[in-house]
Amino acid sequence: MVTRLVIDTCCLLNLLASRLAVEITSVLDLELVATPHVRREALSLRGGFGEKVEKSGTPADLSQLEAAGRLRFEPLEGPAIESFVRCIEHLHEVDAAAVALAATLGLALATDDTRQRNVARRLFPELELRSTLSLLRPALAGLGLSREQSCAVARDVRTRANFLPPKWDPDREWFLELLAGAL
Amino acid sequence: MISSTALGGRIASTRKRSGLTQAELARRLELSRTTLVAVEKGERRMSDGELIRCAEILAVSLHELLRPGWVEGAIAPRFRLPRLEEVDRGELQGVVEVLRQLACKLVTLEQLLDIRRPPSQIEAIGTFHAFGTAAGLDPRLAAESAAQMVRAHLGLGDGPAVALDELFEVEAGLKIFYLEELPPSVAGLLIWGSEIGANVAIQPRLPRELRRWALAHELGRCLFDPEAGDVLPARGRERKQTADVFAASFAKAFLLPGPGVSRQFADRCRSNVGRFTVADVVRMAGLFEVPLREMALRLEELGLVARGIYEGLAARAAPAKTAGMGEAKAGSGEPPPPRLPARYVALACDAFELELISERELVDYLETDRVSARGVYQTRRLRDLGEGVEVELELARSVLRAA
Repeated sequence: MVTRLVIDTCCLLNLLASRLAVEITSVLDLELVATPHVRREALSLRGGFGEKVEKSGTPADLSQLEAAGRLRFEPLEGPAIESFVRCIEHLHEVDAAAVALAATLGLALATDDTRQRNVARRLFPELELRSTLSLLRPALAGLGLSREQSCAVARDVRTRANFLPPKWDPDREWFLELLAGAL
Repeated sequence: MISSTALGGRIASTRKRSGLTQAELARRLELSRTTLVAVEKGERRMSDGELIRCAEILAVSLHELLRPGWVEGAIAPRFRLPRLEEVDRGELQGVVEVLRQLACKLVTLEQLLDIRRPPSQIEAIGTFHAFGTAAGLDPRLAAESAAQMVRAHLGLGDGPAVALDELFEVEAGLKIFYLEELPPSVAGLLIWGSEIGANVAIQPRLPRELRRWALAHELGRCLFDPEAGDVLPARGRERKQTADVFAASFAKAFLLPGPGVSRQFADRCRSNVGRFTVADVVRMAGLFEVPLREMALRLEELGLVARGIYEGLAARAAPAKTAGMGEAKAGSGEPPPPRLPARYVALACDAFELELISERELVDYLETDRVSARGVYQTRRLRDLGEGVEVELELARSVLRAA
């Protein structure tokens, strides 16, 4: 059964950097829901290991996820507006919109941002929070990737999105070990 | 939650800055003017939908309107945009607003980090302002005296002044930004407000020596009369108002102190067995990191070289340049200075490390994209200990001994 999940920009960027965003969402049977703020933000990725990319990066492409039916955008309407204004005293618009949407739809929110998570917990204690690695780790296992392939994915997320897991992430050591294996 | 009175005040202030009348904003919000008046007085609170729409119309972040602690950042009313040739006033007003907003962001970071910065020694000096009102005082003499006083405070002696940005930021409280938005014919811009202090924008496309000269000039303006601010043209006729004469003389005396220049001149003459050539003028300009023109004129003024040295050099150049800073030009080969001051970047990263701002807010502060913002943050935190070991530092952690 498809699991719907609101995804914040920070996690979406990391999934796109893995080059396996469609595969990850498919194996986990996820439908990612994002606010229009995510689409408006100009997302760009760096080159992967050994790739030559312009310093300004390349635009992150959402079209494959959308075409696969794994990403859709939902505007803030009705009760979400009130939740949005509650959040926005403490958070940037983009962050507040993601929290408000997840709280209103009763969906989990995928974000690595510590401040956003702290505010979400305080305002909406019942809101389930996920992270990039909480999606990536089971997805890589589900895809049956070899260790070498998994290390390459970790390296891509690290180099293309400059991602380093926050200290509180329980999967942080797993990811760092994959990175070490990729060297 | 912010009180209705405070929110109303913020809306009113933002509306006025945007140039909208109450009637115009009310019309666009589909409210009556009397309702908007009540909102701005705090007698009525907007609905959530109205608030969102209001922020969109005023082109301001709703988070900024509602967050605790708000920096209005008003510029002193005495600041006036001059009429300059080749400069569109609207464009210049836009740059003033960019600088003001950056100044507000810096103050916001200081508030978030609970940094209460006491006035620097130089900021605390109020005597220079007296020169603006005391009759009969030659501003050139006043500027020489001011420059000596500042150098003494900074412990600079009479040698070249290096690392001006850090020096002025820490010791004089100047916030220094290098803004590409400045029109090419503007070398510097100074604004001052009681909340934001003194903020300077310098033209990044100028050669390094001219940027330093512009910076010293703006410090001079700031010492003389910060409330009036300044727009420094890159070229044009010498400005004759007292404040301009003071600032120009201050820059000269600060960057090229008479005793220090004389001493260097004497040392070179001794080393060269009594000779002092054009090459020596060039070398001294390099040592003091000032434009060649200013070095030559200073040597002439001090009576150390024959009059007309620079005119002789300039006459061979084409086209002939009028008095002034020189225009900004692209492609000088050296890397441009960073737009944001190092302290600003450091504070933004500290605020992110301490979970006071989100990654998205960090992006806003650093004026870049998410991946680059992550890179800036990590570059400051990651240190290579050698042998493939990389450690992540907690830069905001205090290392002071417990009392």
